[in-house]
Amino acid sequence: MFEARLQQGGLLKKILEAVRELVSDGLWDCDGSAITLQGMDSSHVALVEMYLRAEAFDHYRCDRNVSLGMNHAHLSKILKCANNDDIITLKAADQDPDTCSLILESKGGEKTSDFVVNLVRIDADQLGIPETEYSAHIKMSAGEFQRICRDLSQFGDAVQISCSKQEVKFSSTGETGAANITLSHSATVDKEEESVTVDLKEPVDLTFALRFLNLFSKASPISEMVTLSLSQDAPLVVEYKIGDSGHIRYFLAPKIQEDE
Amino acid sequence: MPRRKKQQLLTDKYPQEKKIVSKYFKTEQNDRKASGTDDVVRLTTEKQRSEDLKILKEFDLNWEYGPCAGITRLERWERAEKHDLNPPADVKDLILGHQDEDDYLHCLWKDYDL
Repeated sequence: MFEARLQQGGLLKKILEAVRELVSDGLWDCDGSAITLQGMDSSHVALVEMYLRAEAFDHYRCDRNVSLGMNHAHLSKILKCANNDDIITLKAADQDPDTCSLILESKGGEKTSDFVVNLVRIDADQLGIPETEYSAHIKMSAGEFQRICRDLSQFGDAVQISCSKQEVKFSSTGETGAANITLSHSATVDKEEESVTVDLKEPVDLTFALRFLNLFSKASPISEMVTLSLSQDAPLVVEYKIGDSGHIRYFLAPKIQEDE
Repeated sequence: MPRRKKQQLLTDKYPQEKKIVSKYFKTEQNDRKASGTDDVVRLTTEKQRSEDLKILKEFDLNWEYGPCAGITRLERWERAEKHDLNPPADVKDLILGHQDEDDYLHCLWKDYDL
């Protein structure tokens, strides 16, 4: 059987919030060491990959690998019933499960709720993401990144990210004008969450749809910091670490100059 | 005026792999094989094979496509095609799909010295 007990149920809520608007149904692959989820948005422009190691759970048992096809809207309804400090247990049978059970226990143990989710069939192709050397890595506060994406969305629907000489510039141009936000490398600040690290091998200049970046930044509650990895003509990678026990990575294909 | 830009797709950038619906299903199939039900698989392929050969034999026996002595099935098929005789496409597919099986490649009378 598959059984996983999470002391801090809030984490599962945050993970679901971070994926559910991008991917409506997802295949949660559970094996002996981790739970992984990979899903692409319906337009095939963005992809999310969630990896959560068994160590994140205080009890984890997976006798045989199972894939749970979850409808995220349905799962979200259940998790809305959970408090952040509730203990959440996931359970599924070994043999061809068509349901998954969720048990919510309040911290004090005085309230228990249990739910059954009917699993959905998912026939999706998986993308093989090659190991890539990126030209630029930008590490910054997740909140700051969310703010920049939100602010720029008012001016245009795409952001141009250009990275050079220890600074990164986010620009957006629309019918009303243009907006530019520049962050400079500042690793010397005492507080890590206020620092910006720009690790640059080659200058990059790429354009991305803000709609997706706004969806990615829904993962901000999971981690203080976010890392953007860029290479010319390659998809952008936006990574949030889940403590020491996993990550959520988003991949986004760039927009390119239209051929005339 | 903002420059027009085209959205690229991730599927153009990363290779698409057939998702194994579940690693669990994979092990189940392995188990089934081990428990001896692959006999059923062998029976169905045997049946398929005899049906294929029946189609090919009919092609051999059809005089419209010309004599079949001394040439392979594929050569005969291509000759018929060249003369606009519309030989059946499934025959060609069968021949090309079984390049390493003699029964598929040569016509009925290959063992006779005609």
